[in-house]
Amino acid sequence: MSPFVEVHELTKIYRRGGVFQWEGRKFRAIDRVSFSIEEHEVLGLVGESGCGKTTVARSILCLDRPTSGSIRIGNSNPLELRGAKLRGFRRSAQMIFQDVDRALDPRLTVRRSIEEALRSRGVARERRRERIAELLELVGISPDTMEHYPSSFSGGQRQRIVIARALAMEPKFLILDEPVSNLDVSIQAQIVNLLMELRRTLGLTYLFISHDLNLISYISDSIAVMKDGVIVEHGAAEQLIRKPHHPYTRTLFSAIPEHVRGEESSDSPRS
Amino acid sequence: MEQPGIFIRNLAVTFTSRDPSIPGGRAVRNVSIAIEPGKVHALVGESGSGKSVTARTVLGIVGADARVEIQGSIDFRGRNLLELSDDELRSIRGKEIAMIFQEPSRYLNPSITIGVQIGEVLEAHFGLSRRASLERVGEMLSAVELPSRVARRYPHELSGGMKQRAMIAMALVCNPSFVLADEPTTSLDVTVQKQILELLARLQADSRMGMLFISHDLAVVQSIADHVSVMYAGRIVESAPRDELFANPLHPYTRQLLLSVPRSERRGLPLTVIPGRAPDAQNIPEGCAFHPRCRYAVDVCRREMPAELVYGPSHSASCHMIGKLNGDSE
Repeated sequence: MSPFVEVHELTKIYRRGGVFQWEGRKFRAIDRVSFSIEEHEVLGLVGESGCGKTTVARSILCLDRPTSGSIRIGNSNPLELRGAKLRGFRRSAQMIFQDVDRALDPRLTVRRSIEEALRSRGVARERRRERIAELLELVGISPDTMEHYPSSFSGGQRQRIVIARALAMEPKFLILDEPVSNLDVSIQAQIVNLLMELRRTLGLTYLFISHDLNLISYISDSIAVMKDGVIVEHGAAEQLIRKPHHPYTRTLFSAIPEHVRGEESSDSPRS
Repeated sequence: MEQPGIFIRNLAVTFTSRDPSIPGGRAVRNVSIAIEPGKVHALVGESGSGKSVTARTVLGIVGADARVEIQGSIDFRGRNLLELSDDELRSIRGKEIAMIFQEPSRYLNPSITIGVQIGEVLEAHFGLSRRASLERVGEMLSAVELPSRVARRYPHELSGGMKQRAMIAMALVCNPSFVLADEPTTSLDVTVQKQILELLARLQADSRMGMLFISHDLAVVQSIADHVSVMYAGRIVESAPRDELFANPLHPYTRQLLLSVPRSERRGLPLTVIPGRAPDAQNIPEGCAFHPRCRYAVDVCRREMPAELVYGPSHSASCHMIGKLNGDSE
């Protein structure tokens, strides 16, 4: 069976400096990035700030059209789509960002935020309320609070609402860009568990972007390591963690502060 | 010469409102910390636990723009920092007690070169001339492993890691006997974070200064601290030497916090989750503040605040259920 997501030689060139776009110096934000994700699996994309992780995500959804390369998600090739078809594609592949505060419109109640998504998908008006309640239930938010505004929820709860809204589009593929980076450890664990459970119950496929190696090693089936716009290593998580080949991967893993030792740490593969 | 320690005793910080009907925010409740000379004491906790307020109270920089009540004492060189005048505090701050913050860009002046900014600290505290201070600035830059040309650079010309090095140079230029580091590596990439932690550890060991290290990151704390105190809802719930705390955590909050950190070894298993979230300072639950989230809570936890009891050398914790808990692995 072929992978669910295939990205081939994706390149994005920006121009930097200059008053007009064509005057600037060319800058390769990502350079011939290729990877694939099997259905229902999690690919962890890890790298330090400025390495191009977010550009990859934005290029895949054509929020920024890549300069060259090809993308296939399920049966669609977003680079060949325009207009309504592209919008339809973006529905099937949702993206969740780190900055929860900017993701929700503070002037809309939770119900209206999610309803907007349902309406754009053409869900009948009478069905919407029930569906909103189901979605909120699914992410662990009480449906009784659907008339509240985002400001009355905590950061972790707002991220749950953002996830519910993404699920309203019934996506098959989710891009998660640092979805828990701004959250406290105990809240982060709640959201990570929720994401893993949703993947299992809804059969989702994830591209999970993070700078946090511990989190990436925990959550991913396979891992891609990025540096300066290039994927320097890509492989099954277990192997990559146990036997990193590329010097940069090794540097990255050795930079993790001494491992937090829980009860069952004695057999840690890296200690 | 032996460096002094800092002894915080029964510190309570309450933010109050002009409106008496609004309950005060009890940000710090009865916190005692002994930071031994030449040691790194880490204060770890989630946001709103009161760790930064504790550190800022030591420096006298809490409450400038808020109504605040402070009780307790902070002893440093035989004086109670809480009783000093603003002038006296100013002469200590930056000179004997320095502070390193999370976002260097917010604390560096964008329109002045790094060299002049570091020099100004010396001019202010020792009355050095600019020429004399420049020599010391050069020494300091090499101590934080920055090339000397950085002295002529402006903050925006430096990377995040270099800015943090510059801020460390500025904090340490007066040879303080004590440093407060508030999440000094939180916004940095992991490889840069490692370099900064190694730098801080080396500078701290060389000069034998004491350090209060504030962080939410247990792994970072484990790599640098001698002693760790865990804060929750304004109180220290557990305090122990580093290795003891990580090998033998006693308080349910500490135990579960350690287990909620994702690690590759636990792939496929759900993370341990502490349900709910921390209370805000205005609505701290009766009894043990952790009881609504604690799976072991019984009646007494809801009624009575647990006393701080000693369980081993320098290992103390506040929980009614310690000793009554069996294995807590999952």
